[in-house]
Amino acid sequence: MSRAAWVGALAALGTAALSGCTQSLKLSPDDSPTVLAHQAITAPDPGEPGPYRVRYLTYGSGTDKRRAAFRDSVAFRTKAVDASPFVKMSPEQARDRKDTWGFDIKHSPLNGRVWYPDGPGPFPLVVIAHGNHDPTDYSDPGYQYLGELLASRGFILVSIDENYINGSLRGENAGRAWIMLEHLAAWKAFTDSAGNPFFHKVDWSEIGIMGHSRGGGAVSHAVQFNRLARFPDDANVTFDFHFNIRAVVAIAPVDGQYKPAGQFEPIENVNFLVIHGSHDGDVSEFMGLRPYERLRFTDGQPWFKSAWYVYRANHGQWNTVWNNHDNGPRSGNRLDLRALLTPAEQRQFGKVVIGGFLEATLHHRSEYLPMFRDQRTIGHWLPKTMYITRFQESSFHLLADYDEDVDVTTGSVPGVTLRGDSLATWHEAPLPLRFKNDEQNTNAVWLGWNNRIAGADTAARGKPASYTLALSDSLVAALHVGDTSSVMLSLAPTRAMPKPRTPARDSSAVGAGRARKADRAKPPAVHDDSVPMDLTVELVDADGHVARLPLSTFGPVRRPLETHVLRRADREAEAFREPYELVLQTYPMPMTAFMKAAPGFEPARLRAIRLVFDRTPSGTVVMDDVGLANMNPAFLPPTP
Amino acid sequence: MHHRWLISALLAATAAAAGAQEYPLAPLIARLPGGTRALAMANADAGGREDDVIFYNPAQLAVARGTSASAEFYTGANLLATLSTAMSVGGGGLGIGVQSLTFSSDAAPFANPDALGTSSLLPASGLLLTAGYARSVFGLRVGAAAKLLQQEIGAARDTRAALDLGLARDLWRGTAGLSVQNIGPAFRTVTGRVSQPERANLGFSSGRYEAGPFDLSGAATASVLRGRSFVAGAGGEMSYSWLEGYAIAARAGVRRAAEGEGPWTAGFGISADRFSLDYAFETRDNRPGAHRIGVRIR
Repeated sequence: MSRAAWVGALAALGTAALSGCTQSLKLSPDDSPTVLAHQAITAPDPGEPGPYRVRYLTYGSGTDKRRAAFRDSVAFRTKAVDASPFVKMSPEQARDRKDTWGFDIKHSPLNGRVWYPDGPGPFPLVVIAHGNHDPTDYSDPGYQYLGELLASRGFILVSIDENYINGSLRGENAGRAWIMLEHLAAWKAFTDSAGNPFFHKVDWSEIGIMGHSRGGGAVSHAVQFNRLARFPDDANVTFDFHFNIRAVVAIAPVDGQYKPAGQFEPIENVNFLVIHGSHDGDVSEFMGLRPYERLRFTDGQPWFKSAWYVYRANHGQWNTVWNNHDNGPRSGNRLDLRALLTPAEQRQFGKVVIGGFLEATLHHRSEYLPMFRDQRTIGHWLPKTMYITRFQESSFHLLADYDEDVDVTTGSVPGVTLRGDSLATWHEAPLPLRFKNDEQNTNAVWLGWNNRIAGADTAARGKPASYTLALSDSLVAALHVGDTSSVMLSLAPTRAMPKPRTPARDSSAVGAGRARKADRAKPPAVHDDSVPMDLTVELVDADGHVARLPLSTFGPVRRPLETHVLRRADREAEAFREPYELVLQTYPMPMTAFMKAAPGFEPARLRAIRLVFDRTPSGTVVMDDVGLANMNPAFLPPTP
Repeated sequence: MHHRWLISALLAATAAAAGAQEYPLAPLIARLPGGTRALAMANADAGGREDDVIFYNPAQLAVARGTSASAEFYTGANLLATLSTAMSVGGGGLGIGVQSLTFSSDAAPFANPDALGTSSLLPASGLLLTAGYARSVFGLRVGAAAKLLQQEIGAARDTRAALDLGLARDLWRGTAGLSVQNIGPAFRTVTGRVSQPERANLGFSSGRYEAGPFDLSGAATASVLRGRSFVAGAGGEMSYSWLEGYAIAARAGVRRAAEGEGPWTAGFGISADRFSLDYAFETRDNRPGAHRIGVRIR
């Protein structure tokens, strides 16, 4: 072999070795031109500026040695607070931080950037906390785009400085929440002080808190601390906040990094919005589904919760400082950035959904409520990508969430019986998150079917498989089910495809032999994305009237969205159990739609909710949170 | 960062002022480089974190991992082959190393380093076997390595044991290391006893610093050899990664050389995930330079 041949062979081998490790760009086919083709809400786009002129100022310690914005140009000064009970660090870390910042954790400054409307007010006050990032690449200015939008629409937005607890700390999440509440306490003093620019300008009945990443995890802690009298980790530390927090927004949040008393904390009675990107290179699984799941509405007030999974969005582009550096300045070495939405698109989504949420919850603009029930109502506002949404409001009554016991035939409340017919797969199990060994901390039911009969006749089909929730009449009466009620369920197809059904036994030896041969000759078909996934929802009343509608009437039915966050396929396979996140889509299904489909059907006499798997020959779906709701009519119309 | 370069400069200046005085020592193999990357950076590795640190400072075995093999080619068909591995054991780190030298010598009772690269009358060889262990004690890494050294020149052969001791501690985003090597009985030769090349090293290896798309790191060592000669060296590495796990690196070093060595070293490396391929070149005193190639798996 000549020297040239050796060099050529080595070069080819090297190139193959290097390129073999990187993945080609793989994305699920985009159905957004169809799903988002219409716009049903006629109110102004909440992602566009409102009528107010925007003003801006900063407040803070006035002595910050690293931050001129909080030293030289503060409009008014704030007193430092002692965050040491809530922020754990080693003596070395404490020394380093004091050297870096010029103050220790016992003298944590309350620094904030404020965008506010030029008007007499009072206005709702919203505080946003950034998450963990390079401490000296200051994160708080990154929400200016939200501040300017919200201020123009009549909100005061404060982006608070928590950079001094960023970096390598691991036990600081309680501190992020507490500092957020201390800012609210400071604001109480601002608004009570004649001469302060915010004197009597805050509507204290309408408070919102937002957080991003660890800040997004902190909002759940803040909701708890706001109601507690004592710090769960040290009861000698007392709380006295009790702000009227009505709106909570978690942007790509972490969850469980701080567990008060060692528990995933319960959350109750707030309006909650969580958003997360499929291509998040930092928090690469939808952890916000856990607080979404934990949130309960117990006081009879009209709360709702909404979760948005945004295909091709990342972690950092909701902050203009962080941008596409989910893994630091050299994210491009590790993360596949080609898949990402543009920063402008991702932030436009944030403006529309966060703007709409705050309008609906703090300004009580009910015309924005339908966008949280059905993404298709705002097709013209949303950047064109795919979204998976969860939704629940406080009238929801649970029928089956698969968490209560191990009996697959019983629902979650008395009076609900579960039945399967011709199902190839029927079991209940924990819903996973993308990272190996992590879960959504809730169970769901897996239902698989294949209506084809195994054998030589590939056109042979059996009776469509089905899954039924049978309801007792007393339960339906107790839930006040009627014409204005809705059936709710959350569901996602998976990629699993059961084998064809075993044919009815042929008693002749020849026939049996043929069937077995045919089975061997035709292995189970592989999952095919090009076959649309759908199923029929049947509602049956006591008189046997059956109303049928395709599930796709109420929202997109998609197989999992293919997601590859990392450039290296081997690293991706090491980190994640599947190339997708299993996010269930909520389908609110108004009874009126079924009444239109079957005029004799009487919702008040509902006896069964049935899924009939007759629209796709085979497949598997995962379902959770089946229930009935008598939701605020403002959520319902319009539907495209 | 300023501290590191300041120390390097001071060490180099001190070494230059002291000058290098040689002294009869044996065996030759105990005076030769242990690692390819280290050699490219002036053979300064007292704070290194790779398996071949066993040849420089056994204390760093507490954190060193991997396995490597390398060969250094001198003129005159002289060859130094090196193999080492380091692994985590019992809360510390265990390392094993082997070096084998094939060369030739004049009829001298011991071989000076300048014998390398020549074709002399007598076939000669050297062998070094070492095993070491280190662990952290009160924030300080403490390590020791036992050695078996052998040298054969013509029909004369002797084998001796020796001991290396080391301390190391992370400092200023790098690692400072202190080691004393080749503590052991003198070698017997036909004309008498020749001391082992005892050597005390004080060194620093920096962590990586980002400079735009590049990573920079450096290492420096100052050593006192038996016979009171004083040598020092400092080197740097600039690496570039375009994909997680893949990188190329260029290295260079300058040293106040010991006997037989030249002042300049250089090299490059390419790493692909757990594997790396390194090349180093060192100038030799009054001889053509030597080339070294090494592979490593982490």
